[in-house]
Amino acid sequence: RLEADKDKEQEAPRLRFKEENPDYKPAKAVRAKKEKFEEVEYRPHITSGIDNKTIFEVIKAKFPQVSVFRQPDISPEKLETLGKEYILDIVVSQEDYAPLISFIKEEKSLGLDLLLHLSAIDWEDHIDVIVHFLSTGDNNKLFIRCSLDRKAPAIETISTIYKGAEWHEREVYDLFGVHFSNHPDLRRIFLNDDFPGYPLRKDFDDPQRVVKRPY
Amino acid sequence: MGPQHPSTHGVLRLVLKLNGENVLEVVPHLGYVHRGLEKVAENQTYLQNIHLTDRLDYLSSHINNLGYCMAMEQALEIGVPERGEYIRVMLSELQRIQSHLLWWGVSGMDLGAVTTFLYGFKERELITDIFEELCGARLTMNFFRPGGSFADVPDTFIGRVKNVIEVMKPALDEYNRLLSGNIIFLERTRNIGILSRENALSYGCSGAVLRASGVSYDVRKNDCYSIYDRFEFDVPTRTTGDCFDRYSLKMEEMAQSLRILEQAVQSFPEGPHRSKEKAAYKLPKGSYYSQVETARGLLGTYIVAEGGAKPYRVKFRSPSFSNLSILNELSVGHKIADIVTILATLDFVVPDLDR
Repeated sequence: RLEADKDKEQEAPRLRFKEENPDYKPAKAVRAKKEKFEEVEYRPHITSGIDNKTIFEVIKAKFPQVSVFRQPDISPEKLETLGKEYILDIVVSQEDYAPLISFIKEEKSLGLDLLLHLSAIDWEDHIDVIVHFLSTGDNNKLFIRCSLDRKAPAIETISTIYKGAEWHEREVYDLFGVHFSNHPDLRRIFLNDDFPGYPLRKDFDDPQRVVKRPY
Repeated sequence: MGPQHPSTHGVLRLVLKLNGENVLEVVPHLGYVHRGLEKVAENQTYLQNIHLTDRLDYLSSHINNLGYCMAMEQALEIGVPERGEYIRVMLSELQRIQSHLLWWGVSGMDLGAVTTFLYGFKERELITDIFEELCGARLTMNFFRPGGSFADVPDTFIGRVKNVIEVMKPALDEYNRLLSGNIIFLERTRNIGILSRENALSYGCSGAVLRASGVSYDVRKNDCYSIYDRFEFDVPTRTTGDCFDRYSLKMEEMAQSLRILEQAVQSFPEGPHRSKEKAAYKLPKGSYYSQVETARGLLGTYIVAEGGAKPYRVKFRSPSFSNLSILNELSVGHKIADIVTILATLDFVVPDLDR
């Protein structure tokens, strides 16, 4: 309606303009020139440190049931085929979880002394608890996974081994609902204590809080 | 110490158990700024998530963007041209100096020296003006893209950076004269909050907190990313691990950043600022991890992709979260005023904590 009002107002001045300037042609809109960029070759980020083969062999010597994530039958020699930047991602069972982590803490040849974080990923049928380690001396990393049942996810705590895990486990409990046994202080860390549900799970649907975009 | 407090660097609630003025236990209550960024990131495309990473630790937003873009480049194998790399390094170091200047000003103000707040911000404005001319924003830049940066730097950029280097060198001397030799400051920070090496590693601390306890780990040196291996800079460490060590380490970090900037400005190349952009960013199935050194510590970005246009799970390993978990151990036995000192030197930002 505003456009119609404006047309009515401007009718007389527009007619006057057309009479005064009969040869006026409006300027053509010029498209901004699109910059072209070339492709640049990717430089892979090669980390120094103990290579994946040694780490895998050391761990497999003590815990023979571990396997690499999504590569069930790979042997230590073939780990190089997974890529130059591949960080070793090991799947461990629930019984071996705590013994493996205390082995990693004590094993000086691996040198993995810093706990980066402990988190979880919600696949549709199970929940994966992931633990990431870093070695400050040798700068190699190791990722460990453990699959948990979705209905009652429970696993042992590692806050006695790596003290930083205390807060990370609280966060996983808060957002995913994974219960950690023998944890010194398991309570919600971010959300308030009576928050319904566990937000980071894939089936968390709260129309008031979660806004799904159409694209 | 409630959520609204001038010294908690954000919205953080600490419940203190006291005996007179001595602290028996500190329990932090987080979550006042929890925005659920990791859940939001699952609903947005990969490029849209770059602006989310700005808001993680808003004082080092360029570096956060860099970590996320590096993870994407690792997945899609996108290279970055020379000028793009130089822009990334220079902006990261400028951001680090800017963040440390704010930290210095605010920590002086926490301890009672209110003039440091205004002095620190005087030089900080120069750097913020550079950022404003670059991308229009002073705080959350959203400037880097996978493959380089969003736009090229303007012609005045090099001149302004040279001006900043010239101004910062005598300014750093001034700041050191103001606080580092000050007897009151020394009394308040020496032997407060001593962090041993084993505890620092066990709790997962990073950045200045870790280096002050004797572990020499800097992502720029040890786990070199971008073109940091071409620049010469030192990574200082200290042995005691008390508040004064963390403080002096950060002042030296600023000097080292100036060194990197000097070297970068001398050899700033011409050329394109980014590589070819793709029509759609769809990461192949797999998981990708990249680390960067922000002004707070080690920021890790872990992307789990399932082949679509949106990520399946994004996890930000924030440095402030791990750095703050040692608060209870550090502050037992000290007085209330010492908690403020410890909080100031731990250098955390609450949005980084809560994500």
